[in-house]
Amino acid sequence: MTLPRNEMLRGTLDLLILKALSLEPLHGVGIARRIEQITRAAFSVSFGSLFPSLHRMEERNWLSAEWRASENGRRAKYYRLTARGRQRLEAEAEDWHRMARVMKDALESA
Amino acid sequence: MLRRVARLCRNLVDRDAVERALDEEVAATLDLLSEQHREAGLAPGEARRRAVLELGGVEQVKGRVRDVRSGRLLEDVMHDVRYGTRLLRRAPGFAVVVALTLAVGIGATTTVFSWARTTLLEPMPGVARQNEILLIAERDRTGHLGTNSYPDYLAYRETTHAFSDVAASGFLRVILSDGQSPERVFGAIVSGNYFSFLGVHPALGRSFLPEETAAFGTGAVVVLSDGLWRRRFNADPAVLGRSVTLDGHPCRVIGVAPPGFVGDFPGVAFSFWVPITMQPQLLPDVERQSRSDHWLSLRGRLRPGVTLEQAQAEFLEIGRRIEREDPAGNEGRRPVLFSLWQSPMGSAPVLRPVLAVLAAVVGLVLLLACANVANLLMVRGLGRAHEISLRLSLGASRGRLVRQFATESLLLGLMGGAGGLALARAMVGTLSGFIPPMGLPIHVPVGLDWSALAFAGAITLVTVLAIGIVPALTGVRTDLAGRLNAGGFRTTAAAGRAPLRQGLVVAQVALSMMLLAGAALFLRSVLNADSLRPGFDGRPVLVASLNLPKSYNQVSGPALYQHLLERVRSLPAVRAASLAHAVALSPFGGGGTTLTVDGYQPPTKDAYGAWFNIVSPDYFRTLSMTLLEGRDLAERDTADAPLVAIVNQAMAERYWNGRSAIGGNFTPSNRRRVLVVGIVKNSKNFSINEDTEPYFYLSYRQHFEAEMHLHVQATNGDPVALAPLVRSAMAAVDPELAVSETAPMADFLRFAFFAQRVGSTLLCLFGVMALLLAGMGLYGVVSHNASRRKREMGVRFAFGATAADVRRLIIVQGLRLLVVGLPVGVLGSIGLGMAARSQLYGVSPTDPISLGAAGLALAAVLVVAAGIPAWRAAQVDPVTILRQE
Repeated sequence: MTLPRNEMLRGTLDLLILKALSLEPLHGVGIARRIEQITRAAFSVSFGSLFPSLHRMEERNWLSAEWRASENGRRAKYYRLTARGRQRLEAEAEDWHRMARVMKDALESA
Repeated sequence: MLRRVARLCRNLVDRDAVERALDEEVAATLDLLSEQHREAGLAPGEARRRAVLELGGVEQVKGRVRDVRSGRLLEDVMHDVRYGTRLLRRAPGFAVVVALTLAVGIGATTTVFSWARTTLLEPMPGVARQNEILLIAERDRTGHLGTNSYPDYLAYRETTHAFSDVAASGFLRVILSDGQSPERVFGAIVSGNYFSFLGVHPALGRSFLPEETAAFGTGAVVVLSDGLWRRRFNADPAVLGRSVTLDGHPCRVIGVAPPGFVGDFPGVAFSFWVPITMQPQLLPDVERQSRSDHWLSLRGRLRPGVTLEQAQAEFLEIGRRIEREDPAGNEGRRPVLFSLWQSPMGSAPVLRPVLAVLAAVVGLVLLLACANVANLLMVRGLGRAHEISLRLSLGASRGRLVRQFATESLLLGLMGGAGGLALARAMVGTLSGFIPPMGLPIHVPVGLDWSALAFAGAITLVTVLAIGIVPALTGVRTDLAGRLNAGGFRTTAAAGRAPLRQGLVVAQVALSMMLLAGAALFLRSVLNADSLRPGFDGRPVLVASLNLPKSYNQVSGPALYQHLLERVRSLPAVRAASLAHAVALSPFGGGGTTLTVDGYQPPTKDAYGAWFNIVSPDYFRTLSMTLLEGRDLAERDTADAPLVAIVNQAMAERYWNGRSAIGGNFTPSNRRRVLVVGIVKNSKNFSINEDTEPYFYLSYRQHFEAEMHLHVQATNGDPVALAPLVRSAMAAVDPELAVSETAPMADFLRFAFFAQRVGSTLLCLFGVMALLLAGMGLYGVVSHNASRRKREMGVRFAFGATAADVRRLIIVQGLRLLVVGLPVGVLGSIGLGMAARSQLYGVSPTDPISLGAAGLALAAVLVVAAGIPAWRAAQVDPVTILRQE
């Protein structure tokens, strides 16, 4: 599979964002931190990629957003998964699992 | 989907709110980050700095978000349009010149191709699928084309497989009356299937019922044209069921044709249609059962998939069979099929050559317009090199720049297209203005041909797009630093390098030369019309068309004619008056006939023929024709006296070669033997370019015709002033004659010069436009070169060159293009002239006066066009220029 590097990353980033939001609504910084956390800092998310992804997924109705007070009392834009976003997460996660299995088998074959 | 559309709308319409939300989100993120850094123990200033770094630049993040927003492309386009409009508004001269140039090219092309389509390809307005319709004519053994007989129509219609149907129509000229003010109208007597054949449905009422077209002598019904219905019956729907009389026969109005439909004779507008079964009443002289009486024009509608050639082959076969069955009626006659645009009858043969020349000419004008616009765009593009370099260095992408330039070109193209549409709309109706009144309801259908407009628009659009984005592309390729450092100044070496643009100017010069020379050739042809020696002098002559009511017969008709002639001749302003069946140099310049001449053996078995007219005494004197030998016709040549004829020189020479024709005898087909009593000088009868053919004149008392033309020569040379006098004389003889039309004979001659008049008028117009375009093109190139060579000129001045030296330098550089372009143009003009040779009169395609005049005019304009920038260049102050370095 020879996807261009940024193409693969974008797909990965979208999936990670969906995963990060699957537990609770988060704002942009929260999403970045959560992704670092769940990937054990293997991914360091740049805001230059994060925000366009968020906005695109919001336009596609995978995410919805609302302004509310953050943990320290400031207003922040919180993103949450929509029903469609959740379906999307499941579908993409399933693809990834299958792909990972296939790749693993392929690489480990004698 | 709906949600996305809503989002798109919001992004576009509520852009400010969307932007504010983004600002807020980025600001909030920044605050959050810096607060986290502060909590980690950093000083507020440092925390903020770290936050900005981590975010990766506020504007960059916003820019990347905007890029993924839906409607981004549309937003860019709108931005480009706004930017482009602003730029064009800042250079209104440039925008106007480009748009006008395109408008002229598009408008002229659309106009001429619209004419071609509506007069040649679709000459029957309102008729369905005209490309399937063929004309069925008949060629006799002399090669003369004619109409068909009723038995032939029946035979064709019953036998043909090539056509799905065949319809017949005959020309009718009747006096229409509905109890008040009789009026002469033109109409057609048509077969029962006429309306269904043409695919025309009456707008009001109905067309003929089968029972109305079943038996001859019945079916006294009439369908009116929309025009007649509006003019004479005030568009009153109650006209249905009313009775009108045609030549005294009452007919019931059953329908009104749809607006626009004027019949099936291209070029003529009919006012009414009656069924063919009215023939015994309205055309009592017609011998319906005879194959020799050709009174019907036939049209066939091809079945799908059948070609003209296949139909022609089938008809030749049918024609041969009819000839075998009835040799007396159809010997030597062959059916011939024509597509509408190739028709030898109607308006097609008149308009075809004119339109062919014009199509070539507007093609040239379109090329010229494109070349000129290309040139202007290139000059402008070069001037914008600096802007392009700047924008590229500021990070604009190549695609973005190309799109921007394409948008600007598109704007120009659209302006040009709109102008072209307006121009075509205004010009398309002018064709009918060239057609003189003919005593016939001449009708030229005009309408815009949208496909022609689309074609011309597409060509110019491709040109402006292709040329328009060149600077953006070349700008991408050159190195930016060099461009920016040069600061808009270019070295002299670069100034000479614009082969494409110089080539364009050369092409423009050549094309303009062709148009101007063409205009000159046609103009000289028209001017020659005044000095035309057709063998007669029609200038002081008034022509009045007479059509005797059907109540006159072989005895009372000539008596009335004689009475009328005496009355008109007694008018004080009249020098001479006479009657003739045909008008010389009109489309009806005489009849054709085969004949046998006593004592003449034809060299081949082919029959031989001549053209003829039926005239009264004094005809030759009225038209100032020269009687060479023998005597004129006289009133004593009555029906009881021996039949006599006067022949022209050509006829005398062909059939009585070496002997005097006077006293000779010949027999025109279907007529009795006549004696030659006089010989007249040759004259032109049908067209100004015709070869002289045998022609003879018969006596109006011995060959009665209900349709005659009164020719009256005015003593003071002004025929128009005679018209009221002649009209009242006619009314005094028989009030019904008052409906006749009168026109100076010069109008008929003008018709003979129709092609040349249209050609010269439009070519002059296009020629002047071409001249202006070429002047503008050269001006652009020379002034651009001059401005690039400013620095060089400064240096030259500093070294002692005079203003005159500099002027000469610049002019010479510009005129080099003229010197190259002119000879090419002369060759092209000669080629164009050769192609249009049949339309030229008294002037050859290589006419030195026309070519010289065109060349001089072109040279004069171009010297001015090159001179203005040269003069300006010489005004340059060397110190200022050199200081700018």
